[in-house]
Amino acid sequence: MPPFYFAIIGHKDTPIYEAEFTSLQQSFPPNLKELNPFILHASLDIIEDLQWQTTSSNSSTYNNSNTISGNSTSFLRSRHSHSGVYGPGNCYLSKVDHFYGLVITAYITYGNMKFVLIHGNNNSSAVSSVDDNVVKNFYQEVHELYIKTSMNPFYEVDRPITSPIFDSKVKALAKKYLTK
Amino acid sequence: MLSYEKYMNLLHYPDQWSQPVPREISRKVICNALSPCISVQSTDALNQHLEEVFKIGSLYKLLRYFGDYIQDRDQLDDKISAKLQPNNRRQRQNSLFQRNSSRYIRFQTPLTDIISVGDNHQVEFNDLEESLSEFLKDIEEHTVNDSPCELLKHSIFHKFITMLSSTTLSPYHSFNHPILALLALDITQGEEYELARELLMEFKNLPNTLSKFPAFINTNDVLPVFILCFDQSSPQQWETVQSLMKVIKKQLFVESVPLPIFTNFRDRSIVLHPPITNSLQEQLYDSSHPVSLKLCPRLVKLIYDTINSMVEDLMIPFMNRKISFWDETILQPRKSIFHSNKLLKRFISKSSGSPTASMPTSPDGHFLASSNEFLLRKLADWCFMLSDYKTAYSIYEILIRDFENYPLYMSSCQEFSALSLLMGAHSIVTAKMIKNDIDPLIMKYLDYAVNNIISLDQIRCMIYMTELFLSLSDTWTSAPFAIKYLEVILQKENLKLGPVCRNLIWERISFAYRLRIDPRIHADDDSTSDCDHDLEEELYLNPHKLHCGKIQNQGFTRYRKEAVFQLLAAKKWLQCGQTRQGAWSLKRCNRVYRDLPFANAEGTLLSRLADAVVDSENSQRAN
Repeated sequence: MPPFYFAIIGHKDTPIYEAEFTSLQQSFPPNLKELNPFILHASLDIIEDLQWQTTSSNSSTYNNSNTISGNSTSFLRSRHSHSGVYGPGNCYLSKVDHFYGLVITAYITYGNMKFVLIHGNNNSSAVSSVDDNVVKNFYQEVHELYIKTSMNPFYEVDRPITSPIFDSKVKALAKKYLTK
Repeated sequence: MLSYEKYMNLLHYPDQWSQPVPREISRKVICNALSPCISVQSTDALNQHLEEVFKIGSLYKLLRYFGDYIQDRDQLDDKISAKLQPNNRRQRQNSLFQRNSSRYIRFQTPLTDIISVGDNHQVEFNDLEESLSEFLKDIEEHTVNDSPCELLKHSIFHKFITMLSSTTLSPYHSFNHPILALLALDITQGEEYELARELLMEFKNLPNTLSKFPAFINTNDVLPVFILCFDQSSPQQWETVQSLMKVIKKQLFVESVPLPIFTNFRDRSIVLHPPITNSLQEQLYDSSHPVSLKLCPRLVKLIYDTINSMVEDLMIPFMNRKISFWDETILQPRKSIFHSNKLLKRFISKSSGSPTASMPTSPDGHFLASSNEFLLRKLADWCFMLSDYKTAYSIYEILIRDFENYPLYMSSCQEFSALSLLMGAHSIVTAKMIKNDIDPLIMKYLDYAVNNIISLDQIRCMIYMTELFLSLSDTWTSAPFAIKYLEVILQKENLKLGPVCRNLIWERISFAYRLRIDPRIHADDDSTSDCDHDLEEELYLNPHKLHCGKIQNQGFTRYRKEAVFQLLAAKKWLQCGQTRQGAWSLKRCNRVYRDLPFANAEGTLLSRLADAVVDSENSQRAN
């Protein structure tokens, strides 16, 4: 299975949780590994663009910088439209960006926390494929975990999540959905 | 004032480094690179005389100092210009700040020299890489990490574009083919009519005398003009020049231009700045033969006047005459009812086989200079040079259809068709036009050019297109296309671009992201202040509540994307030992990463690169 790099980005672009889901056979090459946080940070430009879009027009040309992902949806539009493909209340933005064969998917919570995942690829020349249903399920379950964490009275929003339980649960979810 | 020359030789003008990037500079660079060529041939006696007086080996080498944008007259500064023309109230023009079509020219060596050098002069990827490295080393020596780098970075990239250019004669287009051939005589050495006649005959007979004379050049499409070099202080010589001009005109039907280059004006000489290089060959030549040319201002002005009158009174009317002749004899018949009738065309092609089978080509497969196809191509190129992009585009479109069976000719027409569209419709290009017309045209060209091994000349064209996209007013729409083309260049392995060239392209991608700003962006902060005011009145403050002002501009820029590409460029610059470039790239990306703890934490790529820059700076100081 390809490697993954996951981060929860708080307000002011600060990552509050980061994890890498790799298998023994596949992991990010060192030169890419050091670049992952920056690639992820760069994709926030597109996520914000999608986040505040209210119309579907021009989404294919305006969303993404140079690539055009056909099936990405916008956060506001999906929340206000009840007839959309993804239905109401969808926080999953699907593919939002790419970076030389890596695909980036994103999910936004109602509290404006951004969950971002970099999908590595097995073959350096090919672009990673993304199974939207699986990735969406992963995000939704991590969202649930995040809500539980944020309900902890000792946790402050935007502070790094250092709980080993949270970490192990996220990794278990990754194993269940992504690196199975 | 930042002139075109100062911009292209910016390294030598530190006081100009903090100037803003001039508008439409990319278009000016392209105009210059695709400007009319003037070949300069001088007699041995004249060359020797020039060597004695000015320590310069030929008239071509001297005139190069006065090339490029001729109206700028950048060899003379404002004070000297005002002194020489006290009654002339009009300010010197500045190519970087005017929008109308400009007069750029390029001087080149005599036709015989260009032909004899032939393909040996083809620029190689390795030469380019080496020259760029040398150039960047030179920059490193003259600058510090804290030097203002914005304009310098742009200037470096445009220098890179000019280095991609070549002066080699191409059979597929006529941009490097001379339009004017200057034949220079030295009147002070007694060179007169007989020699002029001989020179002209020699020039006209080149196709017969030169064994390697290319079939795609026609000396009849080159206007010969005599330059008569003399000493103005000698009335005798002045009379000789006058009578010689008359005789040449009467007997040889050729115009002549007097150039009092050997006049001693007894003024204080000024040191001329080095000429702007238009190709890597020139760059290599200049670096191996550094010459410091000193001339007195009055002579400089006279040379400018001569060149100006030569271009305005001889070259441009000649081009216009030829254009209207080719238009009437070749283009208009093509547009006739017969030619535009598809039914008739189909009928003809069925009965007479392939129309291209009878096309006049030379043994090496190139179209002859006299063939209608090449003349049409020349017509389009000349229209392009004279800024008539609309006509040029329509002819390129016709040629694309004609050259269906000639992929090399067709791809050249495709690239120039896209270029003329972008150059001409600059202010009216819409998103729809880009998507439906320009992008498919460029992608078709890229597919062909990239898969069939290509030369630097073609890479240059791709970069021209990206530059033109980036100079469009609606950069939100155009920047993604520019990024797409730059990424194609980077991703193709068969383009053997070296690390320095690649880094420059990485940086340009970053620049394209910087330009990607949604026109709906709010520049003012009024709404922000209102919201802040409301916020203060709330009883229960929520520090995590989103601010209106911050929301309304979210997603309208790509500054984070710009930063990641700058970071990548910085890493690559440092890997290839270009510390200064790396430091400047880091400076740029730090505008985004400055306040982000994740980026500046110990051990991250950013902090390691910053440490590497500091280490290198310290070691340089220690040395």
